[in-house]
Amino acid sequence: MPSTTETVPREPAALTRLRRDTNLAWLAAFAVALHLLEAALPPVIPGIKPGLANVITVAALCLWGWRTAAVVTLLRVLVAAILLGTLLSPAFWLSLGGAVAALAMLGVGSALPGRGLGPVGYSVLAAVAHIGGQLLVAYALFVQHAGLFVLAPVLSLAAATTGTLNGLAAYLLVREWHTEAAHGDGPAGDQT
Amino acid sequence: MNRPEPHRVGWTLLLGLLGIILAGCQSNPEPRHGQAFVMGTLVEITGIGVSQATFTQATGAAFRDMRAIHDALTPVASDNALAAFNRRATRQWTPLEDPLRSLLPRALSVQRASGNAFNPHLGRLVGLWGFREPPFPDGPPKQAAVKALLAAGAGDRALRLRRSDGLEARLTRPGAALDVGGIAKGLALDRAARILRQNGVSDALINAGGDLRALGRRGDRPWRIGIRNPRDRDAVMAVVALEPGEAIVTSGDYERTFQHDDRRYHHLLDPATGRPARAARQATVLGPRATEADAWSTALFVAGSDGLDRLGPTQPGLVIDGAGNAHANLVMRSRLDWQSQKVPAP
Amino acid sequence: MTAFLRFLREATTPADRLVLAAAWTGMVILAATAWSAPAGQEVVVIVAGEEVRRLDLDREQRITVDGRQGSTELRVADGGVRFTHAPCSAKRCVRSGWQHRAGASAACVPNKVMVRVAGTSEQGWDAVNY
Repeated sequence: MPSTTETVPREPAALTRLRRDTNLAWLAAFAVALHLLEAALPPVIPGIKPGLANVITVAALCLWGWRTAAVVTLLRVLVAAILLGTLLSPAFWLSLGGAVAALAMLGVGSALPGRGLGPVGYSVLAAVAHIGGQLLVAYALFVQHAGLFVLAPVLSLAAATTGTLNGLAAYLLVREWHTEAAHGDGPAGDQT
Repeated sequence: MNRPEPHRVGWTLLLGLLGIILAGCQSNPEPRHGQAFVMGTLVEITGIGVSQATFTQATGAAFRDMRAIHDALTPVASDNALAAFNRRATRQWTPLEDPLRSLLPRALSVQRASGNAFNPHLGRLVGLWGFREPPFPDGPPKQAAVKALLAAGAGDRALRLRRSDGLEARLTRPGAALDVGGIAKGLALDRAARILRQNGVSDALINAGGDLRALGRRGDRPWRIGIRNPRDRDAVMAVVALEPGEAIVTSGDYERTFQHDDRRYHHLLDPATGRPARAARQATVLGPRATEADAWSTALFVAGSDGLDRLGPTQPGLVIDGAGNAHANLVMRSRLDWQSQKVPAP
Repeated sequence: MTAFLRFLREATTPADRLVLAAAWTGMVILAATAWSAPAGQEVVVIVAGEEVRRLDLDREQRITVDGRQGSTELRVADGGVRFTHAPCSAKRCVRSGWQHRAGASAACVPNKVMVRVAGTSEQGWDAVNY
């Protein structure tokens, strides 16, 4: 890994912004890729998806804060919908509803005192909020019937599982990033 | 790691969210059911948010009243208010007592507004066709007999009302005889609704053999009613949410029927021809009172889709015509949640 | 197993573990309560307004109940109930066929016998208008 911090000990503010924007673009692209991959794979259980793109949301939150996580997530939902051709379709609104609920929950979670939450806690909270948001959007816009909530237990169990696994993945990603940062790239973004 | 200042807001918000989620899990209160066989049909009352004691007492009173209305107005008795009226009213002015006193002015106003498509005095024709009570006959009456009754004014407008001491009525044609089958069930529904409310039931659904009136709401949502497909008793064509107090009444060609030579004959007679009306398979009317909705559903059935104009712009009406196509006026279209794929939406 | 637990311990903060525990117990409780409730699979038999019997819809059986005019025969099979024989003349109850969904009902008016599948309708309506 070529080192840049040694040759440029104090990088100018413009470069920091550039670095941040590049990170953001990479993250969003990565998230879109995961989102598309998931859309292309046949579902193991119909109606339940692993929500792999949420790994990126959580990692972004831990590394650069809530704003970055929000931008990356909303970008991902929008771009993936455009690429899949589902923009403004029910699938898009469900996706957006889940994402907004998850981000709101993460906003609350990141305001916790003490050592606070790590990737796993964030991920579980986000997954639970995600299905909650989706159910509410589905109920409000598409099926005004309480029978919909019969699905809640199945979806919640799935959310707890995928939330935990994605959280562990996000933890590994964050740890990896820190290791690399410590070895070379230096402190990234607003982590300082 | 990026950490905001530790504060208590986060925990408070989290606990608050949890509270909201738990509150959202609270389900609708358990409904109570009461049922009785009255008015030649099964009447079911579903109540919400009321104690079992209050509900039993209120539904008991409602069922008793429905039975009293049926006894007074059934065409098969010879010693009730309807029979007494019919013995006198073709010859002289006849004073009216309840329930005819409240029923006849309303019947007459729908008869007028519908251009005689609803006619409350087809009693002789109904008797001739044998539709008063089951078992129904195997075949239609002779055309000559129908003609003779029509010549005696059986299908004409013959009901007159006047006010002297109290309300009086008479029938001006010898072929006319009061038969309130097309409106009495509505009256019974309206009175049952009032009795329930007076007895402390504020949210209920009264179902008299498929004709319904709502009271209040079903917990946190309105009462929702499925309108059946006239040719498939297991299929619901559309769903409509009733306003508090609203009634929904349907008339169909499948209710009192017999089959003869591969042809179906039913009890909804066209006053103009003296024969079962063929313009529609089914007609549904919504309204704040079941009495009027009941009469109008009969009128709309007889008049077919053309009858929607007479119904007026504010009373929702839906007609499935003789060919199976759905027609509805604008207010009805805005109320219907159409479900059927077999019948195209109006 | 111990390796995984060590990894889990390393990957989580105390607050994370709290969230994990809360989420998992919540989900398990939610799922358990939702699935332990019977799916409304019971049929209520009512004669002249009084409940006379309750039958399990999952147990195949034929029963006879006495109404005002005589014996009415009911059949329970495949999670549904229907009238199979009635003393009335019109036999509308027999023709009305199988009742499956929660809240569905059928009745023999002359014999004053009614059946209703217990539970609240999972369809989008409370009653059917006809």
